[in-house]
Amino acid sequence: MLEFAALSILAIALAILALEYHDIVYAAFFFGIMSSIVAGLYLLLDAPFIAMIQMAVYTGAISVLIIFGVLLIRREEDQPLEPYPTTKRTILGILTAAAVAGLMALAAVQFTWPSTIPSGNYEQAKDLSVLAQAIWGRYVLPTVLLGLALLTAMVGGVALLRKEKIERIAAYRGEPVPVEDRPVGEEPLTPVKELDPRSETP
Amino acid sequence: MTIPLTWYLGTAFALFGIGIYGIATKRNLIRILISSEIAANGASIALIAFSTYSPTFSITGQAFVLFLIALAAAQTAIVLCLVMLFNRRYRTIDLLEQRTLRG
Repeated sequence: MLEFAALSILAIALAILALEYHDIVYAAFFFGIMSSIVAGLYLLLDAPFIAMIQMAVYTGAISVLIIFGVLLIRREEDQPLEPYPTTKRTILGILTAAAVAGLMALAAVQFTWPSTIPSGNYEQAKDLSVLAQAIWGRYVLPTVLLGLALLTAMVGGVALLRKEKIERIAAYRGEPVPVEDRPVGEEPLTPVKELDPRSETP
Repeated sequence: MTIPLTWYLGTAFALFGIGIYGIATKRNLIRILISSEIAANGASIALIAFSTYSPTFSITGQAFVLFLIALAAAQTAIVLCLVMLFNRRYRTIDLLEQRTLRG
């Protein structure tokens, strides 16, 4: 009881901090701590394997990715541009979130949920072979498609960032950069003569 | 001393609502990404709780949460690539500054 209350309150408080803290680097760290707290909730629910995956993927991979993304963007570009935040947006957002959560809670209270974990569930929930049989038996097609989705994400990431590289090579060789590929408000790039390797040999 | 399922559902709905609030109000693209991940965490808690508390035990909730975590990793990678491209081209990651994508 006590551990559930502590983990739940910590998770909600850290989620709010991750959204409202003014420095986005700290906000990314708060998000990483929140995902490990959620892994603790999975442990309370007798799902240790999912808790381990949550620690490895969310805390280890996703929050590190977000922190890298934050650090790769210059500081003056990640600040909000409005000096005085309007309260109208905040109130509308709180109303939207309250409506969504309230509708879900309203749908949830229509049903009488069990108040205790059935006694046979403890062993099965912790048994890794049950999970493995489900993943590689009933859900084998979604699992394979998931691998394809991860591959697509990797290739897509490479392809998205490759386009920028080709733009720079075009500018470097002195070829004109297409107008739609130029950054807004920037002059067309001109080749730097002293860095051009062809100009060194007469 | 046992915890009823509705408490876990309350936590899950609170996290999902916080995620929806962030998506609706924030202008920084990375904060919107963090909000979507918080909402996904709330959904995962609900799925695991349903799986553990169901009278005839079903592992489906845990399997779906595994899929959800892997998809969240792929989504984060792609969205961060798009944020990088957006930042390089427009020199900002403020969503409301750009009206090109508004149609």
